[in-house]
Amino acid sequence: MISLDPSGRLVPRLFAADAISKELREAARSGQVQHIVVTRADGLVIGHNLPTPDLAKRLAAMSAAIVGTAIMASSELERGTFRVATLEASEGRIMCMSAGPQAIVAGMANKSSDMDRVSRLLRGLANQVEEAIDQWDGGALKT
Amino acid sequence: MPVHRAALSGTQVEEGFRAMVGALVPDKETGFNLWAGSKDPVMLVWSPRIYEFLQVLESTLSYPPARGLCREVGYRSGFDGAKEIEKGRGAGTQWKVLLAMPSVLAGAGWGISEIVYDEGSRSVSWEFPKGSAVGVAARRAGPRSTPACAFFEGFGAGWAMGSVGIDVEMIETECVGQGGHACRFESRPLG
Repeated sequence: MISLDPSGRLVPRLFAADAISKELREAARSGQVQHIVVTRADGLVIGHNLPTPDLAKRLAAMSAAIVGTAIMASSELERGTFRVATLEASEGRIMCMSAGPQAIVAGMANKSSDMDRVSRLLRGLANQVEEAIDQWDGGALKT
Repeated sequence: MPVHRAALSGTQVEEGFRAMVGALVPDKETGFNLWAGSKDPVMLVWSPRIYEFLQVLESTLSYPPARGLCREVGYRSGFDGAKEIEKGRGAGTQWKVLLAMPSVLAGAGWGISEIVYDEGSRSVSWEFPKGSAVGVAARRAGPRSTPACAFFEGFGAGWAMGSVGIDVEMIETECVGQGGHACRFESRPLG
């Protein structure tokens, strides 16, 4: 089940940022998503391609709140397992998904984007983020 | 590289309290209390109310983002606090500003704490041997599975940045709200 880590474990940002920087650049290069932020579940930015760190920080905090609320709502309203949260507005869309229990991937797309492709792209990135964090987690749990 | 340490005696706690209260000036026109010339009014707030910010947020958003938001508020408070203490001190005393934190916090009723700053690794260890005021409020509210002192995590990180200029997050590794013996925080580099 996809849920944010209830134990309070927090992957070190420096580790995660190094591990996913290549994947983040490749996802952004696709042209389907204008901006991407990878954030820890608590809203701390891991990586992004937004024009300023302040914008990335805001999108990360909002994404963490959106995914956290969506997970709570899915669970408490008996809607099953949270998969993805999508916001549709007049000028574009925002898609947020969990990247394992400790991280979130969020993308901003324009209104003409193919959302199936955006979803696949972000899911691919989310899987890579989760794998990178699993490597840290495995090492951290062994020590 | 030296390791700096600050721990308080009972007398120092009392002195810190008197210094803290002595610097408060009531404004008769507004009913606000102003501290050491700061423009922002200072309020007395029950520690369980600070804890309840986390509780209310986590009941809607879930724990991780609630922790992040509480930490953000604490960070600003800690950063501004360090800058207030720094005023009037000479250059080269940044670590003394960092080590002033336990005295200021004990004076403000946040709990007795000890802090260790390793200049070589630029790391901070911070401990409330009897728990922080918020940790104790969490313990009284009932045991919880996650650390309760997110505001303190942010506060410590903000004070570290505002004093010795290190970009770190403080992680609460033990919390009396979880049944621990103390509230302990360790720094981890961010930048």
